[in-house]
Amino acid sequence: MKLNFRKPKFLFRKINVRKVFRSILLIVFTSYILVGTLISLPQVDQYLEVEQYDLASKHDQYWKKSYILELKVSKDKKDAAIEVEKVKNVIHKRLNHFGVEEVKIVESDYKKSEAETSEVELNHDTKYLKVTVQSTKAQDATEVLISTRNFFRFYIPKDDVNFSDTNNQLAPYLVENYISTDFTRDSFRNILIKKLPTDSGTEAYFAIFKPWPHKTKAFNDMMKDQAGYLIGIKYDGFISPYRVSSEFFIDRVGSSTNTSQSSNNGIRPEFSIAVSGDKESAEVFDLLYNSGVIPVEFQMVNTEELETDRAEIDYMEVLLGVTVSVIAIIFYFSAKERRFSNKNFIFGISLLLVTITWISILKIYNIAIDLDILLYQSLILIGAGATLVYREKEDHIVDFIMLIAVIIMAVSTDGYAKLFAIGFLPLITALIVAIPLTKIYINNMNRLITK
Amino acid sequence: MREFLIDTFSIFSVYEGAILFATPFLLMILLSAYSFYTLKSRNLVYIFILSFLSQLLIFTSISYLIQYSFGAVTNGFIQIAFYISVMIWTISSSLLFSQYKEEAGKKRFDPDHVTRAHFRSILDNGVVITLVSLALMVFLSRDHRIVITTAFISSLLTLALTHLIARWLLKEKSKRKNARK
Repeated sequence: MKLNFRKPKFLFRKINVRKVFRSILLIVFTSYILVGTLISLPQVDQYLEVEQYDLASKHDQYWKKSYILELKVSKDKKDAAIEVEKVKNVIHKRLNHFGVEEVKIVESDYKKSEAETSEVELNHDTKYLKVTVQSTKAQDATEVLISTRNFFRFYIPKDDVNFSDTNNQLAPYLVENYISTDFTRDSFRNILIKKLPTDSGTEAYFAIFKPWPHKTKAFNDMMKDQAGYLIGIKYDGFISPYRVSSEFFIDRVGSSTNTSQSSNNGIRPEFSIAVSGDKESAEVFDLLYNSGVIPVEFQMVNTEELETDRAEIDYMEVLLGVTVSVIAIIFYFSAKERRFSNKNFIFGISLLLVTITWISILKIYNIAIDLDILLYQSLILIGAGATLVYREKEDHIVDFIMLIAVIIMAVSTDGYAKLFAIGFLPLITALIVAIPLTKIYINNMNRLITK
Repeated sequence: MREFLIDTFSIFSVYEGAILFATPFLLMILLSAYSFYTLKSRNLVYIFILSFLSQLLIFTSISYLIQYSFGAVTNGFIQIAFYISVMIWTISSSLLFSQYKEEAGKKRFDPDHVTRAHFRSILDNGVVITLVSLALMVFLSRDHRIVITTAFISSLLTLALTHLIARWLLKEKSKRKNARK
């Protein structure tokens, strides 16, 4: 019997691979929007009875405190005003770089108690500054930045002093055993904080003193003279001994024998001291050394715990407000154009895409944020979105200028404004990317539905 | 002066004041320099400088008036209002730049086309700002309402004034051109 065998036609031949691929992408994109919306909706965890992953707010992390600083300023009123302003600027700079959200520094009419005012000062006047701080940053580190002057001066030991005498172990800590030098913070262009290996094989953060070019020779000469010996650095009244590296000695021998490649393969030795083993303390030291010089002596005389005054914002209400405003904007543009155009979909979906991505990231990684700042970001995001979608002619220069503006703001602002700009930068970038993506999505969706 | 700056902008030191004003100033310089470099238009530079200065003036007056009437915003949030207003000025200026660039590429430059297109875009911006501000303001506390009101009113006035300055300077240019012909 002869079998009539027909070659089967493969289904693949009839399938349009491009169309399938496009459909899969559309399904993935739509699923992403649906899942993202579900994740970013408020209080979803309660409805689904799963573990808590609601948006974490920074609200409870805030603490507020005020500090009174007593400044010993010049008798001359003009000089005193300049000194007070310098102190305010340096403390503000330190706290700003540390990321403290809210700082207020004002002159205070603080009155000391009678027991405290017994000391009679003839050479200077006393002024008081009130520093009020509201922040989520580490309180101890913030207090160090406010209360420490960190003014230093280099001291060299007197010729007749023997620091190796075991009977007088306190000798290196007594200022009368040293001679003062001219090298203070003003002599250095920068104090570089860097992680370096220690003699014991571990790693620690070191402060490397980088003198101004016109002071380099004098400083290096002093270091060469003291190579291998102890010198003193007086910080805010207390002297600490540090041993000068013997590399300076090798450098001295090298230069006396007229060899240019004297030591360390031609690298000049630099004076450095170990400051800290952990990164957080090293950051504080960096700010103390490199935020400017406080010109007068001061001390903290009073502190006061205060109630935080950050108004709590309801995430649900903010979301409702944003949704209402987006719908109102779509109505406005539909009424203006007298038809419901694709632009409305692009506007709505691109904003939705950016919002759900951002909130999902915050929720999944449990990143705490300021809800009030998120509110301001959403305000300007909607404005920017409407401009980019409903403009008459596409010109990428507008996107570019917006992006540059936000980058400048993120880099050069402080406090809440910095938080606002830093958070807004990924949002505006995502929006610029999301708009063309949404256009492609809607065009393909249209094609799929209408065919 | 010190009290005025503290009340209006929450500026407590020279350093804080410097960084607050340096950012928008830098933006204005960059935008002006870029437009002069690409379009060789002095008028556009004058428009940006004048509208920026007027924005500073408007924000200062509105912030002072609102805080004088409804109480001071003691936290640093008024500075966010300032940056929102700066951002809206940047959007409006970049739109003007884009419209000017498009018109400059044509054979016959007509300043009326630029000003009309700019008016349409700032009208849309104005409506969007109004709708968003009103919708969000309902749910907020007093401090945030003051901040949003300040940003909203000063932005609207800045948009309007930028348009008027642009119309005035661009029309002046076309008048001068016509007179020469």
